[in-house]
Amino acid sequence: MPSCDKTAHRSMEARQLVLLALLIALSMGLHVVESSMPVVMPMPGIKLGLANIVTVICLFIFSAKEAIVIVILRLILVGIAAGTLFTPSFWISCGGGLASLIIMIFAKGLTKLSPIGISLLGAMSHNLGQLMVVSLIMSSQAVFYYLPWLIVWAIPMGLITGFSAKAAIKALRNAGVNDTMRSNQ
Amino acid sequence: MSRQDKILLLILCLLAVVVWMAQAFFLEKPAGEGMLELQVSAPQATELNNVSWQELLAADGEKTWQIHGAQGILTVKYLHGQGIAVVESSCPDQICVQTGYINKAGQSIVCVPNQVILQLRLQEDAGGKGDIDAILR
Repeated sequence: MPSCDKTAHRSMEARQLVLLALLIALSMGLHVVESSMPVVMPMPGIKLGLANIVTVICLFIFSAKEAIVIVILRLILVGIAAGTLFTPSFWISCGGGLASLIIMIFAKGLTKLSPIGISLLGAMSHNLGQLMVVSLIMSSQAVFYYLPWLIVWAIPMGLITGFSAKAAIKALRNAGVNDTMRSNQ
Repeated sequence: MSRQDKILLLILCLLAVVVWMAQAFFLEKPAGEGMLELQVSAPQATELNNVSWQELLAADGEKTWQIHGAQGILTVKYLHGQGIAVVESSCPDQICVQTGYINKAGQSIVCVPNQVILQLRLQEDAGGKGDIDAILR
């Protein structure tokens, strides 16, 4: 029956919307937790990329399109909430968030990497993206002095976000969220 | 973890080791204290923006001065045998302070909120970068 189909479609849309909203809230929460964590990075503004967990979940549960929406909304909303919109720390976050987003979308599309591999690449590009923005803001290459430090840090961080994302994806699928929940369906 | 993941992890670990070693061996040149130069880039030019190491060495083993950053003042200290450190800063995260002392060529202290970079370089690098001293025929 067409009406039944329509209801099913609507409920699917509603579920998708709720899950996306939850993921945005989660990524904002992680972003804030990360900025209030004791300093572990050697440079101001450089973050570990905990919010990448959500980007990875989104890439595997939904698709690239939703991941782009989540990352951009998260960056703007955290900027507004923390009062850092359009300040250096906002641009640094953007550099990291967008660089890791682009690399992870390509990695997801081109390879058979699991969430862990995708997270490793995401963490690496997150750090490099942030460093590039810092270098632009300060108009100096001196900041690349921190490059080895950031590359080394990306490995444990990528593993942490990767295993978290993997667990979350598994839990979501067990809870009945299937990976065919994509925007065009 | 899939096989591809493990290969990727291995590549990244190798990359980290290579970059780390490249920096330790090629960029950070442990030089005699007399051969260094401190380069300071800050939004406001101050008289101490480029301090020659000799000046600091001559400063009786210790010297403290201030740099005006984008949002406040940084207190910089030279301590003989230790190097250069930012001991006080107006920035919220205090990461420049936590960097501690730097004393090798190639090392730097960065404060993004104040837009200040302190960089140690070899004097020859700082002076005649790319300059030709003499051509012999």
